Amino acid sequence: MIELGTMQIRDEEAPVQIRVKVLGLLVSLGADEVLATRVATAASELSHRYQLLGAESRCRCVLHNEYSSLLVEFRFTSAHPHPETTDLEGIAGVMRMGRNGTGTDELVVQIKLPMPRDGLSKRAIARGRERILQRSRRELMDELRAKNAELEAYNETLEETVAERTRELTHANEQMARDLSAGSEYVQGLIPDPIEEPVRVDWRYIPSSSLGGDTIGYHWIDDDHLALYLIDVTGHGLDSALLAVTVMNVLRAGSLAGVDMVDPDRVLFALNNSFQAHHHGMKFFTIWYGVYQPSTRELVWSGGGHHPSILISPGTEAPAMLEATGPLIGAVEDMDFPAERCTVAPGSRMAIFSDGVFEIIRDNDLVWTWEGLVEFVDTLRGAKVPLADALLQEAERIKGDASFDDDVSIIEAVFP
Amino acid sequence: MNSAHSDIDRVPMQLVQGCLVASVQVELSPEVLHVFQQDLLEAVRRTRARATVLDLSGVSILDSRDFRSIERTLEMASLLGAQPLLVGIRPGIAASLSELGAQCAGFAAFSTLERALEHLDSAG
Repeated sequence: MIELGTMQIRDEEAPVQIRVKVLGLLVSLGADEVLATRVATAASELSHRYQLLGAESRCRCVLHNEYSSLLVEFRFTSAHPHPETTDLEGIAGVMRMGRNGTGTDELVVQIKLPMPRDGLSKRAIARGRERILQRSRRELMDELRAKNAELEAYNETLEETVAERTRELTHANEQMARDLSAGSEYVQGLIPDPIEEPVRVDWRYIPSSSLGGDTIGYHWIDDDHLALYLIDVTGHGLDSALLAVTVMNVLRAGSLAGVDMVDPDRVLFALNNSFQAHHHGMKFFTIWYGVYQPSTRELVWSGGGHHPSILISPGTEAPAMLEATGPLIGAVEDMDFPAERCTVAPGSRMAIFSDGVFEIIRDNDLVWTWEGLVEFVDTLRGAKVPLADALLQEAERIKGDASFDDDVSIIEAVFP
Repeated sequence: MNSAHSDIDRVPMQLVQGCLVASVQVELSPEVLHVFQQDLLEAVRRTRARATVLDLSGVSILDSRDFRSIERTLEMASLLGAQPLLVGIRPGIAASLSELGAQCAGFAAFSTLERALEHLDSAG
């Protein structure tokens, strides 16, 4: 006995599927079309009747190799009593009741066919098996729909996952923005209030959106020495801001061992050795540090990696550039930071500022430079407007708005 | 087209000499037969066809249930004024239906479409 396969009778599509398979199988085994059609029609009628019973039924297809003939059997089993079949005997050939190996009653439709000339080949058996077990279009569509539903469910999960991650990222970004904002406020809160006499000092500080590394400060070292300084740490973010604040606190506290804070060259020498970049997250900084002595009207200053501050004095033809010739702080130990000095004429105005004032980028182009700023300052010699405000307004005008890519910090000192 | 039937095979129809010719080239499942009934009656109403010719030459098996469904559909078409004709029934189907006791009293059957159309012409 050769088992070809079992066909399920689940729904009203089953009779159509079974009859097509039975017809195809019988024709492929050599049955003439009329005979094959009759048996297939009988299989269809039977399948209808089993399907109407309401319980799932099956049709098992087996072959018997009987030397000169081939016996094909379609064996119907069901959980219910078998349906009435007498009207089908005319088309179904032999129809009898039998019993399978498990003792279940079977309704058996038999058809005897001449054995093919070359016998029943393995290939013919394989093709017959494939035909009987072939899934219907509906089954394939159902499977496709099920797969599609799985995919849609997965996509919904995916969308939810992406949405959840987006929410987390948004939350993290908002938290970071709050931290940066709080950092900016903190840095700004460390800047002293303006002072009026004997030197008038005021400041402007606009942090960049990502919190830069600028801090500015001034304080009386003693009754006759006013320190003014600006620190610009490389990079942006909290780490740059933290280092800038640390340096400022060191300056304010005068906590550089063995250093007199009235000597800018010694202060910067000590700072450079204390804040080597390899000990501070590879952060460097520039600094301009000056000390003004009202009793002598002398200004002493030094700088590291910083552009000059500008002094506008009455009666002079051009603003004085208070050059800082020392190197970037944190790069190399034991470097010199030569101090410069000058006498400040009454009515002079000085601006100490960060490069965020003049290195202005718009549409990826550098649109204002140090040279441009010097030319602009030159036009301010007779002007009454505060230097800090004039510089800021010009920077904003050139930038096109008030949002800067880097911190903008300005200290303005007016010497009566 | 009714979207609920979008997955179901349809029976193509065309008007030939005032006759609606429906050529069945698909397996006749209950769903296909149901949709066919709706399509045919709507087509008869729309075209005012004088006859309905159902070409079954592409059908390999037709059991009694399918035949009863077709019979009812053609009777309905007849009530709409379209004379029903069957053509192209294969020998195996004819033998099976006959054994199953199917009656073909309500409509004429022809071996080919041409013969059916000739019959209609001769009948005026």
